[in-house]
Amino acid sequence: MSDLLAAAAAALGSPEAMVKRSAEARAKASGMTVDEVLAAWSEGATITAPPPRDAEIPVAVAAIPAAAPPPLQVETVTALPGPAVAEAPISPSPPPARPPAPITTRPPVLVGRTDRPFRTLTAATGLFLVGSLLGFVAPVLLDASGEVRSSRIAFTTQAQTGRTVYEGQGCAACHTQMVRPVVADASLGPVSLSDSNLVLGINRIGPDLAHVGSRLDQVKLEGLLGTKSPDHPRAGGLAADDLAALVAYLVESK
Amino acid sequence: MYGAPFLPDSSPPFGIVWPNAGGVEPVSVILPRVRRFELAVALTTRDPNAGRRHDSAAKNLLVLSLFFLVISSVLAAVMLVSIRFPGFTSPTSFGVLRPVTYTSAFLGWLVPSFLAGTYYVLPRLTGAPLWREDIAGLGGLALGGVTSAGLIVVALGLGDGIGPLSLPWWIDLPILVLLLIPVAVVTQTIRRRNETAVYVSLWYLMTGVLLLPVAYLIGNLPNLTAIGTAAESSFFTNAFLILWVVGMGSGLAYYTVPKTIDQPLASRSLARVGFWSLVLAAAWGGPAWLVHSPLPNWSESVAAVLGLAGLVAALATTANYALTASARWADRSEQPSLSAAWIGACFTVVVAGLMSVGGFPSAATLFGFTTYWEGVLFAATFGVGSLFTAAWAYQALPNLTGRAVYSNRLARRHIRLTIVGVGGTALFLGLAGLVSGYAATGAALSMGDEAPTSVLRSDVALGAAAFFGLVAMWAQLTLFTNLVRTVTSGRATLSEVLVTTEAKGSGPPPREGER
Repeated sequence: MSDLLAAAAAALGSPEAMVKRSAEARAKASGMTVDEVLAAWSEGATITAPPPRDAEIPVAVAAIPAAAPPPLQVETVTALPGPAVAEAPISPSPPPARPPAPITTRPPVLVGRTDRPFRTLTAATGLFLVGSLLGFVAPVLLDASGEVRSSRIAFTTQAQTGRTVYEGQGCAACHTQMVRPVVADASLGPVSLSDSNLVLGINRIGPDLAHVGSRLDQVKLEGLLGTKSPDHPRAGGLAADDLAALVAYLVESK
Repeated sequence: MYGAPFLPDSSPPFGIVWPNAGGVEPVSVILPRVRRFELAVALTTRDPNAGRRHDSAAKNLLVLSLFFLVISSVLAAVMLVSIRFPGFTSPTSFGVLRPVTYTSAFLGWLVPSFLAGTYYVLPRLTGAPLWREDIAGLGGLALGGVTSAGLIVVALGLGDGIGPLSLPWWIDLPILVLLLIPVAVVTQTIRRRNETAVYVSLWYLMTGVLLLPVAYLIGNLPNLTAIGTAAESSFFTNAFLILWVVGMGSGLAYYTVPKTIDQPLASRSLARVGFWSLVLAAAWGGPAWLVHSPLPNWSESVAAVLGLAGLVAALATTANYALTASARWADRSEQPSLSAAWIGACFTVVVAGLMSVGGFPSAATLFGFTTYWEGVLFAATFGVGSLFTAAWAYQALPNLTGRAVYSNRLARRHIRLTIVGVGGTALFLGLAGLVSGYAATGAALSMGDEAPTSVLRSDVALGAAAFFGLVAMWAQLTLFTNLVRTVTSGRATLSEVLVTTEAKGSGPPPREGER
C-alpha cells in the first residue's frame, strides 16, 4: 500500500497523509478498497462516487409491499407450478419498469465534517450583543439616571443652535469638552460628570473647551473664529447667524 | 473532477484549474475556450448552473472600492497636513476632513472591497452560486452612491458629529438598509451550500457581514446623552476596526494564504481561538478609547482587560498564517498575495497591541484623547485594510479576469511603501500624542493652577506624520495602479473556472449513513 500511496501522492502532488485520508474516504463512499482507489489515482484516473442510495435500490425491491404475505399463502403458492417461490411474496405480477431515476443535480459530496455555521453565527451574534449591551448601553443608561450634582448647562436657544453648528463643523474632532480626573487635566477646571450636555468628543488635538467660556470672552472667540490664523482653521463658509450661534455656545460653556 | 482528493480546511474542491500552455495567449483566445470548457462541464455533470456567469458582484464592488481607495488616500494625506498646519487647509478643517476621509475609507473602500472578497470566496467555499448576485452587485453600487452623497453632506457641515463618520441619520438609514443586503446574500448562499465543511474563512466573513449592520445601528443612534454619544463613537470605531478591518481582512486571508501555497490551514483550533477572541474584543473594546471619561470605572476596566482579546486574536491569526505558509515559504514567498497577507497580519498585531496598551488607565493618562489614537485609526485603516485588500485582490484578479497580476515589483513597492508610510505616520502620531500628554502632565505638576490650558503640541512629530502620510498615499496609489493595470493589460494566465450547483433544498446534503 505504501508504494501505491507514494505513487498516488506523486501523481496528485499532495502530501501522502492527505492522499491516504482522501483515499479512505473515497473508498468508503464508492465501495472500493483503498488500494484500488490509490491504484486508480496513481494512474491518473478518477473515482466517481456512486449515485445516492435511493437510486441504488432495485426497482423490484423498492416495490415490496409493506406487509409481507403470511407463510400459509407461500405454501399455497409453492404447490403451483411456475416461478420460483422467492418471487411469490414480492409481487404476483412484476410491476412495470419505472423510468430510471433522474440524475440528481447535486454533485457527489466530499465526506468530511458537517459543520453548523448558523450555530456559530448565533453564538457570535449573542456574544457581541451581550458585550455591546453591558459595555456600551448599560453604562450609558445607568449613568444618565442619578447624580446628586448636575453639570447640565441651561443653554439659550441660540447656544443650542450653536451646539448643532459645533457638531456639524466637526469641532469635536480636535476639541474635547471633557475634563478627566487626571493630573494632565488639573488646570482645566472641574471634572466632567456623566450628565453633561456638552459635546464631549474623544479627540484632543486642540485645547479642551469644557469651560472655554470662563477663559475667553465673546470678542476673543469671534476674532479667533472669524479671522485667518496659522494655528486654527477659520470658520469660513459659516453664515453670520451660525457663527454667532457657535460663539454663543462656546461662551455659555462654563 | 470530484474524484480527486481534497485538501481539508481551506482548499475548496469546487475549482478547476484550466491549464494554459505557456501562459502567454491573449485573453481573447482564452475566454472562448473557457466558455467551451464550461459548456462541457455543464453537459457532463448536467449542472444547469455551470454555464452561468459568476463573480459579477465581486467585480463591480472591487471597481467601486478602487475608486474610493484613491479618494480616501488623497483625503487622508490632506487631513494629516491639516493637523500640523490648521490654517493651510482653511476654510475646511481637520474636523471636516476627518469624517469625510473615514467615510470614504470605511463605506466607500473597505466595506465594498471586503464584500467583493466575500462574494468571490463564498461560491468557492460553499459550492453553491451566490444568492441573487444581481441584488448583491446593485446593493454595492447603491452603497457607493449613498456614500458619495454622505461625503457631500458632511463636507457642507451638515454632519451630526457622531462617530468617525459623522453622517446624519437620514444618510445612516439608507446605509443601514443597504448593509442588510449582504446579510441576506451571505446567509442564503450558505443555506444553499453543497459543502458539508464550513471553512474558517466563512466564520469570519459571515460574522463580519452580519454584525456590521448591528454595530452601525448601535454606533449611530441619534439623540443620546453626551456621554452616550461619546461612547457610541468609540464603540463603533472599535467595532469597525476589529470586526471589519481586522476580522474580514483576516477571514479573506484565511482563504488566500492556503490557496496561494496549495497547503491546508495549519490549525483549525488556533483559528477558533482567534475568532472568538476577535468577537470579544469587538464587543467590549470600545470604552478603551474613553478611559478616565465619565463612563463608570468598571466599564473601562473590563474594556482594558478584554481589549487584550484583540491582541490574542491577532497573534493567533498571524501564527496560523506563519505555520501554514512555512511549509512552502521558500518557493512561494514572492507571491504578492502571500506577502501582503503576511505583512497585513503583522500590522494587525501592531494595531491590536497599540489598542490594548492605550486602553490601560496608566497609559491612558498620557495617551488618552491624543493623536496616539489617530495613529491607531490610521494604521488600521490604511495599513491593515490596504494590505488585506491587496492580498485577496492579487489572489482573485487572475481568476476574475484571466490575467496575471500586472507587476510583482509594484506589489512589493506597495507593501514597502505601506510599511514606511503608514508605519511612519502611526509612529509619529503616537510620538506626538506622547509628547502632548507628557507635556500636559509635567506642566500641571510643576505649575499647578497656572498650567497652560492649551495643548502642547509637538510640531516636529506632527510634521513628520504629515510627510509619512504622503508616503502612505503613494502606497495606496501604487496598489490602485497595479490592480487597474492588471485588469487592463495584465498577461493572460491560468484561470480557475468556477462551477457551482444550485441545491434544490437548503443545507448541505446528508452524509453517508444519515439518509
